[in-house]
Amino acid sequence: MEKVDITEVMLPEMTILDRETFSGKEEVFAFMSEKFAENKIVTDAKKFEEALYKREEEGPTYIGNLLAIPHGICDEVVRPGIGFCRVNTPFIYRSHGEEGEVKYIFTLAVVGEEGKMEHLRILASLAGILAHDEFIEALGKVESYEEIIDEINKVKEEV
Amino acid sequence: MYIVGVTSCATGIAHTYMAAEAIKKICKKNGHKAKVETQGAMGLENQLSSKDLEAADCIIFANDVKITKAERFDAYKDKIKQTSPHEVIKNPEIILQLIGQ
Repeated sequence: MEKVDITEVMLPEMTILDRETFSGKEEVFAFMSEKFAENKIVTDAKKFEEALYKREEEGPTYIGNLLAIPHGICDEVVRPGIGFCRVNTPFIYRSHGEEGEVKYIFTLAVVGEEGKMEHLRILASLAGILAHDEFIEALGKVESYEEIIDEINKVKEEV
Repeated sequence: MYIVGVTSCATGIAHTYMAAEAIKKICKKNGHKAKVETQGAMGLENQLSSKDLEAADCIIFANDVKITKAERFDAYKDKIKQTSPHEVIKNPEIILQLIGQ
């Protein structure tokens, strides 16, 4: 796999490693939508939150392995972004008829229009990385944003 | 064995590429060669050729949305095994069941 610069879309400001927990998916969506708005990834937090719910209607974003990947696509996304949140205490994440404990949440903001291919590629390559168990394991141990980026690059070198 | 697959999903970003990786990973782990075509937001990538389909022992469809250029597979219906990207991601071992191992 070619090396893409994930730091372009995964910002330190949207990497949260010290959250205690969430009451459920709803709180995650509201929280991450605000974060995306604060960091100028989306122009309207509410609209992006709606986009996250819209995607939920199409199929589960609960993955298993303590992982969830909600993602929203809408015109209010002005640049692609990945937000990562790790909680100390896993919570029950319900999605499209499935549920399970979640500790790691990658929220993806996808630009509505076409033509931002290189960024789509970064999001897609991150999705590929999430299929690697050893990466998910490492997420439990990382202590900084830089360590997450290191782990991502480690998986990339393998594939 | 030579396993080929096609993945697609609603948004065309997350599940398509996660499932493709999951298929490649489980095949590699079990000593099978694999090639996976992704039909996502970036269009068709790593497209399967008629040579691939001919050589394949098994064709995995892991799609949520309709497969593009589906006519390519018409002659190989017997080899096709159907699943979903979500299923493959959650439980990659399903691939081994589908290929009869």
